[in-house]
Amino acid sequence: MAINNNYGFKTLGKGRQVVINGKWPIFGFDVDRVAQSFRTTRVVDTTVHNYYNSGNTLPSTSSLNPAGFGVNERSGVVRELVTKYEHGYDYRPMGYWTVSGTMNLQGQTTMSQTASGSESSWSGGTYPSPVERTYRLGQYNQELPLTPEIGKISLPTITTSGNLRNLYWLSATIGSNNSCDLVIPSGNPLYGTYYLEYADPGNNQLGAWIDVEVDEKYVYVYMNYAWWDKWYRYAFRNNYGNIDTSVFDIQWRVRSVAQTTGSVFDVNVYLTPYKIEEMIVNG
Amino acid sequence: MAEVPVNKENLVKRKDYGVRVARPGYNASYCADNQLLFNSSWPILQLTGVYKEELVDQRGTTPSGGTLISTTTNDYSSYCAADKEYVYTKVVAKRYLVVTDYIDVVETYGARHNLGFPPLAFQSSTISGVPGYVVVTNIDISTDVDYPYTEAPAGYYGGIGDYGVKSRAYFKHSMPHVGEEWGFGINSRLNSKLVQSVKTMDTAADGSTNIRWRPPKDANGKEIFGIRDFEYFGFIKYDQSEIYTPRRAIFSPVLDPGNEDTVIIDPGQSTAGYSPASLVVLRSPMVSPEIVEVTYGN
Repeated sequence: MAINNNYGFKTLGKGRQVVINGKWPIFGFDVDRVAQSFRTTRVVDTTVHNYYNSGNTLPSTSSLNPAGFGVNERSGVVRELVTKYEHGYDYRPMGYWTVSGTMNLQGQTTMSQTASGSESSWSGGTYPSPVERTYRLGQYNQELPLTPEIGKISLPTITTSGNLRNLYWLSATIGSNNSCDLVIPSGNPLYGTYYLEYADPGNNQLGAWIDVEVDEKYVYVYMNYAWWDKWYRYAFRNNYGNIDTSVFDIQWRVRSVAQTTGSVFDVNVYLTPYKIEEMIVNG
Repeated sequence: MAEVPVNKENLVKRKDYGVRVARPGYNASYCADNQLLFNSSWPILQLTGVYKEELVDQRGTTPSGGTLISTTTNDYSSYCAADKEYVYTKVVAKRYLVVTDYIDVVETYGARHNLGFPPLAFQSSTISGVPGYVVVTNIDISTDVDYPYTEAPAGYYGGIGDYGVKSRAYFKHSMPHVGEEWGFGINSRLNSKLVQSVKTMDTAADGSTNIRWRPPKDANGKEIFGIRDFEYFGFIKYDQSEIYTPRRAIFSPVLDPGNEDTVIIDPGQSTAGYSPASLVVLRSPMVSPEIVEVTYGN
């Protein structure tokens, strides 16, 4: 590779620092392809993200610890295509992207709860009614200005993981909801007040972010948003010390998802005409 | 707060020699800067090399017969840490268990650039175990410079075709054939990113503890360009270390009250011993000519 030949031209600046070197490719776009190579996509977000169907299951009684409490937790990220367009090359060109604008990040959490079993062994306590109730525990908003940030150079392959830039997390505490509390009366081995957890799983954090990928034909813009699904169970013991769901079995589920509706942002994609793989110096 | 001055001592003056290529229909000797395709005194952004990510440093010896019990990766971001010899993409800390002893190994990844100065370098991601690449530019992040800018952004134009100045890129053994579109070093058909400014603490002004930069203003004090016409890259350094570590540069009236259009190194998450070291500002010579609005909804 002729990287050390002394050819071409240079212009020098102060202290003989090289300002321009004729061997070094310009990081620029082809003016004859400017409409595709230097393009801004303005995204107006009006989506409503549903709770993710995670396939989560109720903790089984066989898996509960000796105290009679179990949790099954799942979480993840949904990656949705916002838009794509053709870049006009027949290979994957190198470039980078920036995002600027406003992210309107919201969190949405719902709790559902059921209770079953006989209260006769537990008289004097406070038990949630054996019905399913949904609590809309939180819808909190935060407008986040997107400081223009650089995305990574285009990747050689398309994968499902992608670049994570402009990662924004929303952190909030959802207020208490005392009607969810469970009170076991004195005299019972499990005497006390059990606060059914209502906070968002994952330490009160939901996030959303944007990323861009490029392949041999298209530029893709993706929105990513996080979800959580946490299922709890208390199945108490009967007087013989055995777990017996006919005595008391309470279950509750907290589901969360990040919402981005109301966000407006510009995704600026800047493509050079180069194939990154053919420019490698070290092999 | 007093306006952050352009450091005139570092200004690279316009040169009336070298190479100028005018747009078709204009005279290169007399036309305005925004009627030029290429000017050899412009601080254009160039690529000095693309490198595969490699292991460049290891502290500690990987034990034989040990069990790897934990791995922590610190990825530097979309742009790299750098010193005069290397650019760095990530640091991986591994802990091994050998019988009852813990052995720690720290691996640093990146590439050797041999430029003799710490450069601005971009990186691509490691995806599914496939390492990304490192793209090294010609910007020396340790040396202050404020480049002059065109009075107005270059306008949108097209239909240039095969016209102007071309040279052969370092990775080609011969000039590209007629009709080939890439493989050039200088190619006056390409509209380059420009290096607007490199600022270090040497020119941070008025004893500030941070590096600040503002868009240029005209004679009436009105900003010529908005803050979003630029892209900025911040770096911090640890005490006497030679390594410039990425720390995002932001504009934030909340973090920097009274300075709505000033870019600073993010002072958040401060780490003992680290201080602002460099702020690099790039700009395009024009705004994007193609803006498409898309509704993302269901």
